Amino acid sequence: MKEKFRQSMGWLHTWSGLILGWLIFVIFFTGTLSYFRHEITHWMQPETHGSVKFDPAAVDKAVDYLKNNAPDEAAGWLIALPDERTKTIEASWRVLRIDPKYGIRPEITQNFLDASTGENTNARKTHGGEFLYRFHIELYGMDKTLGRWIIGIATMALFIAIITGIILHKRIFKDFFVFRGNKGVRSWIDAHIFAAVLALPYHIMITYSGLLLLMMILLPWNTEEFLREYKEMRAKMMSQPVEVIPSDYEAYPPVSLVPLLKDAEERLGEKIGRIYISNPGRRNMTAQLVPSRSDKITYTDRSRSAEAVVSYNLRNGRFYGEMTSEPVSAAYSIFNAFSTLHVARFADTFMRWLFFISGVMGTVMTATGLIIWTQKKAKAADKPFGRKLVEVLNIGGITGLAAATAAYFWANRFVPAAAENRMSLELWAFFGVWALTFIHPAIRDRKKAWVDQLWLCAGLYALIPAVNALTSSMNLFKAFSAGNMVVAGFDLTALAAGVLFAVTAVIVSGKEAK
Amino acid sequence: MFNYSAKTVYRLDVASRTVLAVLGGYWGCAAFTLLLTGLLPYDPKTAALTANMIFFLIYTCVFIWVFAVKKPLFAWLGVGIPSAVCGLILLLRGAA
Repeated sequence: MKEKFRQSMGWLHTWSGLILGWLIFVIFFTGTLSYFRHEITHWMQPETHGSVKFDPAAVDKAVDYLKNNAPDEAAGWLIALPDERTKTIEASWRVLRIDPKYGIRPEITQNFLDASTGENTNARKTHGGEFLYRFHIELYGMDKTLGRWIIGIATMALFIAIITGIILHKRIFKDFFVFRGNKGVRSWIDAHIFAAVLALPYHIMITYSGLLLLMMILLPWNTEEFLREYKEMRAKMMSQPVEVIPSDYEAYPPVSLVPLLKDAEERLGEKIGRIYISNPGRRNMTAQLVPSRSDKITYTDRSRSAEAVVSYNLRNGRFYGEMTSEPVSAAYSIFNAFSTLHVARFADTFMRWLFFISGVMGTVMTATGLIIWTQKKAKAADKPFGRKLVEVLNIGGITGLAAATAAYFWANRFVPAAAENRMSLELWAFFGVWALTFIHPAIRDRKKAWVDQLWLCAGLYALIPAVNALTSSMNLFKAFSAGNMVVAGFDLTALAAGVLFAVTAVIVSGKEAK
Repeated sequence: MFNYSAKTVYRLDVASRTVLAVLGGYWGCAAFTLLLTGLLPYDPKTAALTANMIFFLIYTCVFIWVFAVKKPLFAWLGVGIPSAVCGLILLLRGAA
């Protein structure tokens, strides 16, 4: 289209990146936080912070808890054991409900028990990290399929922007080592290239795997093959009414789970993470024990996300057998590898941090890309209204989202734990603050608005350890001495983010003086 | 015949290529992957998965091609002819 191939690639890079740029920024930001969504949820339930050490005997307490609290019609129970990411025992039950649109849907009630005593922590209700994760994959307040379509289109645009970006920069690795600070647009471009190239393999992987994860929605013509099994299974389930058997059908307590846990761990040579109990209270009550986390990148069977499962009869403790999934085709292994990489399912703590930092690089890449456009193109276009609009979207979209997320964490602590509608109040804080961050730059000088909002973010994040100390029985030092690295890690990360925002605010306000 | 200004020509060019890349590319690649699904020597589920994984790569290539070619006509032909061929084979196969 343009005279030179690389010029047309530059054009495509700019426009595919810009048109959905703010959306891509949102996806990167919330997705990066989603690597720690369980940790975020744990921090957002301060009632659970006292639960640190795991005592296997608490597993039987969890069964007692479920027996006394789960409704008779519960189709299954789940006991999830603590690991380095979660510090509590999750005791949940699943009730099957008939949904006219989707067929049978499980309704899950989650409870978090103290890992050493098995007592209910009565944790406050919160969307926790799950909200950020859901926002990352399907946005909010709209039909899920529509949300995923929008996310998918933005992902496709990002993929094109990344590929054309590589073509565009013929001296990509030379440019990587060059940083010209204090040179206006040139500095932003250098920062953009640095963030993009430093994590380039990650950017390509995360975008392509994101597309693969949304494949069923984006490529609906080819899904018949995938859906056939599911549809057949659903039709079968729909024709069977859910049988309700009262819990006094047969007197029980089931056998103790503690020896079964030990037996399963010996058989598999891996730590057990989840215990699924089916037909609770009934004659055929069984437990399936699943390993906690696989460090394998390719699962043979994605639906179970585990290689092996050990089953026991819970009425007499007899070993039922071990189930190992069948190997799958090479194409499926590749697909599984990409989806596992995308969600970092295989990753230990170190790897998870590496992914998190790469995600931060992507977030910086998107933000600097948007800033470059306004500085270069909007200036050249000389349209005051258009430029102001893009600036407002930049400020509210970039720093505003960061401030809104911090406000979500603050609201989590300042909305009373017992408040009736506290879950929606937390979301109100998120969207309310986000909306305000678009109004503020609209009525204020753009450079001042940038600096204001950067300082706002700095303050909101840096004070999070103080908020935690004030509103819970835990604080940074106690978390360290008690060995609760999840809470300590959250506080320290927030503090570090606050410092980074402050540094950025100083740099940007210094530019203003010139 | 028509006497458009250079700016209008440029805008029409961009608009036509955008429509071609977004929609034409999508349908063309869809036809290609459907055809590929039938041709791959795998079980239907694996074949569909393989073709779908390739879709995103060729869609990206189509995008680059559409905006890199000098004349818009070549862009339209370059996307149109392969798409039509794939579509035709699919239709013939469906009829047979």
